[in-house]
Amino acid sequence: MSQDVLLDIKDLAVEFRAHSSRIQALRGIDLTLLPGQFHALVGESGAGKTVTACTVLRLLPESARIVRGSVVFQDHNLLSMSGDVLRNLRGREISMIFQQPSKYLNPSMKASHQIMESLRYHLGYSDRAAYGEARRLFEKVGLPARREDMARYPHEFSGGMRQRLMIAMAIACTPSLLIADEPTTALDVGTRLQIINLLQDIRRASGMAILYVTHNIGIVKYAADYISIIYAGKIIESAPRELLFSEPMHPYTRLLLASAPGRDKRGARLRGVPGSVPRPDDIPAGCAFHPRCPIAQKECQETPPPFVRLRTPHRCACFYPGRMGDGPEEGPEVFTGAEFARPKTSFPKTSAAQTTKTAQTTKTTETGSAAFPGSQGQPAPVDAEPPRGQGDVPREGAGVRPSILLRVENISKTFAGSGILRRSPVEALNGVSFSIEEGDIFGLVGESGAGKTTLARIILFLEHPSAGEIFFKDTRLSSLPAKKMREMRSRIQIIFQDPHSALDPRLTIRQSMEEGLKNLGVPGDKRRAQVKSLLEQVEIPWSQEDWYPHEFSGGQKQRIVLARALSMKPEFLVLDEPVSSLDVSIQAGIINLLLDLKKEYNLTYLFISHDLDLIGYLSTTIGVLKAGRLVETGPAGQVLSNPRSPCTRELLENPLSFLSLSETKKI
Amino acid sequence: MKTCSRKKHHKIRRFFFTLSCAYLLLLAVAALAAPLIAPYSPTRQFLDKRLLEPCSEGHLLGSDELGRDVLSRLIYGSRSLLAVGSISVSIALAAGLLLGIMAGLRGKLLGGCLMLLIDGILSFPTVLLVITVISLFGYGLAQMILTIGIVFTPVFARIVRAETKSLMTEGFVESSRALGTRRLKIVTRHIVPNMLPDLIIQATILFASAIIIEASLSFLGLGVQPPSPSWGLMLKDARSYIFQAPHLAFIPGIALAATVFSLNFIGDVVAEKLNPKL
Repeated sequence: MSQDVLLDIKDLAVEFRAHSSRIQALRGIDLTLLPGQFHALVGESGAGKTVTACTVLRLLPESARIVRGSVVFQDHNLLSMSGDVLRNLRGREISMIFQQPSKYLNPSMKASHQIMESLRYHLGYSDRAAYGEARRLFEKVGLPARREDMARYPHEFSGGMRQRLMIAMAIACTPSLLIADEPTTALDVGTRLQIINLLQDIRRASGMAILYVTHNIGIVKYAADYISIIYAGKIIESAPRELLFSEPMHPYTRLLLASAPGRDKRGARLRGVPGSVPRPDDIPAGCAFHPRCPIAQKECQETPPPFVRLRTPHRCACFYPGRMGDGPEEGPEVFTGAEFARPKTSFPKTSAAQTTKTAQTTKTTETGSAAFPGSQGQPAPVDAEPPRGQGDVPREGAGVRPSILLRVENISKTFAGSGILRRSPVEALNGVSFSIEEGDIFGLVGESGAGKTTLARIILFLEHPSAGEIFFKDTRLSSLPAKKMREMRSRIQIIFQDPHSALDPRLTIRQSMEEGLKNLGVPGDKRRAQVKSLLEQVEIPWSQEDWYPHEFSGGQKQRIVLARALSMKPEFLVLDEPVSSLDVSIQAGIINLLLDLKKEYNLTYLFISHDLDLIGYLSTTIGVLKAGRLVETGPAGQVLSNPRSPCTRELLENPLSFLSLSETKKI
Repeated sequence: MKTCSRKKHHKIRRFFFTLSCAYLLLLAVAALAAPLIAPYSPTRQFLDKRLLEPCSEGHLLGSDELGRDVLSRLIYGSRSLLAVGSISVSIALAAGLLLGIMAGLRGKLLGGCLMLLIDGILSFPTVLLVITVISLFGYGLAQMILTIGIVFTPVFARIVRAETKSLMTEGFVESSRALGTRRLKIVTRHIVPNMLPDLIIQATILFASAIIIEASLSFLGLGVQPPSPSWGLMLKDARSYIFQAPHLAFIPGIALAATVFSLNFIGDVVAEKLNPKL
């Protein structure tokens, strides 16, 4: 009996059949999980992460077919097991938690009953014993365990609490394997950390192994023992955490790690992965990554590279493992921008943050770069002030005092509550004031529900504020008549988070692009020319002008939306989480494009995000929004190195953020 | 195995779809070119050839109690049928779009009042309402078309209002507003085209029920007046001779049923085709 292997997946291939086409979801997964291990399965959307997780529990939809391979769990072959035996295993030995707990909890069942169900079924507990055990589990996952709390229904819990409830259900029978399918993706950064810590505590206490499916590198770096990277239905690299981060072997892994924006990369150009993730019904021959790979050879186009052992634990599927360096000259230049001959921070080396830290001390001493008290006593994650005067992210003309472009004064917004009987008003924004100078990138950071999007909509006048005024170049927007307002609209543009809904599905992209120009009264032939040049600029081939939005990938759609906004020749662009719905590997390309365009068109940005790493990477000024109030504003360097508000500090210290990983490693 | 049965199912659907389209096309041609196609005038009486069986000489589908040619009456009857269906649904669609968009775009007060009115109309049983309206305006084809149109308006208005409300929050509408597009333009360019599929489906369903209402009203003596030909009227007259000449009831009955079936089936298929997720 192989004691030391808990789950062994070998050459697993799964395909889906829809009509006449076959979609290869998995094309040979090899994965070995040891007892008690925190194994992270990392990949982008459509890579096959969730399919892998579901195959282990045989929870695949009917259209799926297992083509080949084996899944062995504690000497049982899960794929050939009868339904009864499998049912007994599910929940008892292997359990699963999901991304949206609200979807997987029965809304008409009390919280305690949801937990008691599996205790009664699998372990044969009496009602009384099950209730006692449920209470113990409530306490274990940090939920209030009074009788009235346990009798509450799922909708009465917050998102984080619901996830805790689901964890309690999953660990009720002390399984030896927990499969977690992006359990924290829908949560705020703060809650995310709590959930991960909870999982870690449970794992350490019970020796349960965790297969953690995610696309978030920050989480992986914080918590995982072992990492497998999946790309287009195949594991392309797997290694223990330290090894993977210090010596990534596959070009994709390297680029993925390098493309994450971090506060330590301020001023440096991000390195993206060119192209986009292949669609599962159209996977390139040979190595699936070769069309995007900077070091691809002829061999890669023809033969799929085997998944081989490089040294004891490290495995990689590449003909040229480790051949690609980190230097900018070797990397694919995502964007042929003119000016980016900047010094590059070499990425994954742990020393990166150290170097930048020493570099910045000279700059930020006046703001007091003294370490603030960290929660665990680690050195404060201070940050580099972008080297001004080098023509970097911040404005150039150092001598000219820039004028204020947008001034937000005391904006408040109260929504009428949406109850039938009780209508308690909801306060979305409360007295928010700040101003943005011309050429700035104002980074607005805050958790979900902090009022970020409401603020963006108010600035765009898509929503009326309950109180307060907005001035754009000293013009009070609320006093403008409708006609003037429409003219003003062209000068302020917005990019929304979801590029999929931002384009009318029934219009070709040219029709969508021309809409704004028509409003400006640009004649037909000129419109065409402008659309063409704009599309070229965002790297959408002109030949695709008559395509419909659904034929483009998310990243391409966001580029089109960006081009459409630029067609209005705006001076000010509000970017509401422009990259957070995109795959990690293409985020960098969009961010680089945004920075290039800013330079070329002399734009000012209001950049809204929940991700302090991203905000810290590109902003010149940072504002922190918390529950509708602006708790802190200031120059980026100052906010990052010497935050005044505890809320900012909390965000900065979060070990899930990518940068702080290099310095806080406590697991 | 599974794919095989699915393919078969697909084939059957295709067949019925083609059949439905062909039938409706035939009906439309018959209605438009009635004087050219029909062998006799629908009101011409052959008093010596009453209650002929189908396939009699000179009368393919037989004749009725006054010796009128059933085929001719059927062909002419399709005119009022299709007129009622298409015109009343068009009226309802136009009025419903207008009211629904107004209710969807405007604030609580106007929108609420409009919806109250609409719900009021909806809460009446359809035929009862039609009878009430006809008793006000008197009978005739035009009045009937108008009343059916009014009765159907709330159905469209409700759909349009709900769709407008949800589409207004879509990213592309907001982007369009940010691009400075006028409200009316947003409605015509983004909102109406995006709710069109739902409206088309609803229109085919209502078209079928309009036809049924027309037939029922004519049957009740409130719609098309004799001696003008109408399928409902034919059914009504056939009632007295149901044992001597059952074909008089069967023929218009089957024609009516086939029309309604075709419309519903086409609506179904169109709904599926227009949904990109299927």
